[in-house]
Amino acid sequence: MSDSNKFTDTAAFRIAAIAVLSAIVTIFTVAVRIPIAPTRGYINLGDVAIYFAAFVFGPVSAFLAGGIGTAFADIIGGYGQWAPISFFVHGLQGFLLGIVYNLILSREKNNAAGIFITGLTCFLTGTIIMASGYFLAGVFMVGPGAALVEVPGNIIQNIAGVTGGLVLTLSVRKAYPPVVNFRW
Amino acid sequence: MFTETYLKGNSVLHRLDPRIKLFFLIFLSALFFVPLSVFKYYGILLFIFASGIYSAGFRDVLKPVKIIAPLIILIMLLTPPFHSEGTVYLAINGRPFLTSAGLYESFHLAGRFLGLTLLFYIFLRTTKIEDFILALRFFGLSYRMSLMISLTVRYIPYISSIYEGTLDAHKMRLTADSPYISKWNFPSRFRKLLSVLTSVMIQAVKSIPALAMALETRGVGRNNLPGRIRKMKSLKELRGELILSFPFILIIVIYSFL
Repeated sequence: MSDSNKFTDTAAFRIAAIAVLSAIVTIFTVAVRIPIAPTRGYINLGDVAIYFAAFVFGPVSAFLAGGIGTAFADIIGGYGQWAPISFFVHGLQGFLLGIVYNLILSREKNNAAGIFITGLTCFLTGTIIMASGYFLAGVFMVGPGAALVEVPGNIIQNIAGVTGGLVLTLSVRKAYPPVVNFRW
Repeated sequence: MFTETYLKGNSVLHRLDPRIKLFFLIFLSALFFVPLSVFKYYGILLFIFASGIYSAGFRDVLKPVKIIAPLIILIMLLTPPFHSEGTVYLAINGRPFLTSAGLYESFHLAGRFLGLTLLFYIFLRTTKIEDFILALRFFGLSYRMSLMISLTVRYIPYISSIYEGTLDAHKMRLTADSPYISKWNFPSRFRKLLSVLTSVMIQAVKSIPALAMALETRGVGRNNLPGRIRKMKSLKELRGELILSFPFILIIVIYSFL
């Protein structure tokens, strides 16, 4: 595989990457659960995988992996009624995170300050999209009172997401350097 | 890790074509967002509950109800303060806290959420995930998207086994001198968990090129689409089920809107 950039342009590679990332998002969501927010039932680490997908693979793969992965996690976890909402909210979250990361990446340097600015901007983007998305959906499904209870849990989930996502990105790049060519 | 939602059975719902079930799922879900009276909501809910008992059994249908029970309580407690119209039953410092409109709305929302929960649960309990993907394909999902979803289904148990194996390997490294981490020490637990997740992620990401090559060898990316292993019934074969489903739709529409 001499020209890895070209390899990532193929449909086979993109399908494989999104399928594996979606499975990772599902497992990170289902395997690690902290029961706090009553409306979603638990706080999970699915966002760590979505942030990772956005940082390493780009907006399109983060959109599909975030959407498909969390929808499957809801189906497996017995929260099937939330699956369509999770698909759109987490999909949009991943997509915008990928775009914001692309924009920052072209301006910021890869030092501590650059990583901090990247993390903060991505955290704000991810939190606004996810918390407001679930809140709006919650207003229609369970009413404003119960939907409000969920907001703090979603913020905590995003704090874990951005921290874990950045650590994972740096660790995986170090352990498996070819991953830098996987972005499209 | 539990990754299967389908419950083996031979009920009418199990045997019904997944496309018809998917149509009913969307149709009945939409009905819960139409402004109907609360009694009609609970009538539809009763029908869904009865279908669930018939196809999966009483104890199985109670499972999702138990999961969402705390949320139903929250809806009943937190919805009334948002509504001040109607007869006031309870006021705190002169501010209406429980009114007839608030009570009505909380029953409305609880019925809607319970209905949606049961609908999705019964659908997934009586439909194999492969059939669900085929039904989505019938309704316009592209070949590439359905391949992506099928591969995800295939990879979930694989990534799960990597996660469990890595978790066990990390536990094996613990010695008698290893520091004890309290259940409530979230930062330390998170840090420890991250090392496991990093190993899982590296192994999973490394498997992508091999999977991509396998897909390419199978012809993915070519313009001529490959054949299918599983096929659904043709619309002609489905005629009987479609004709039998129509009176149900008619009854539900008449019950809801007249």
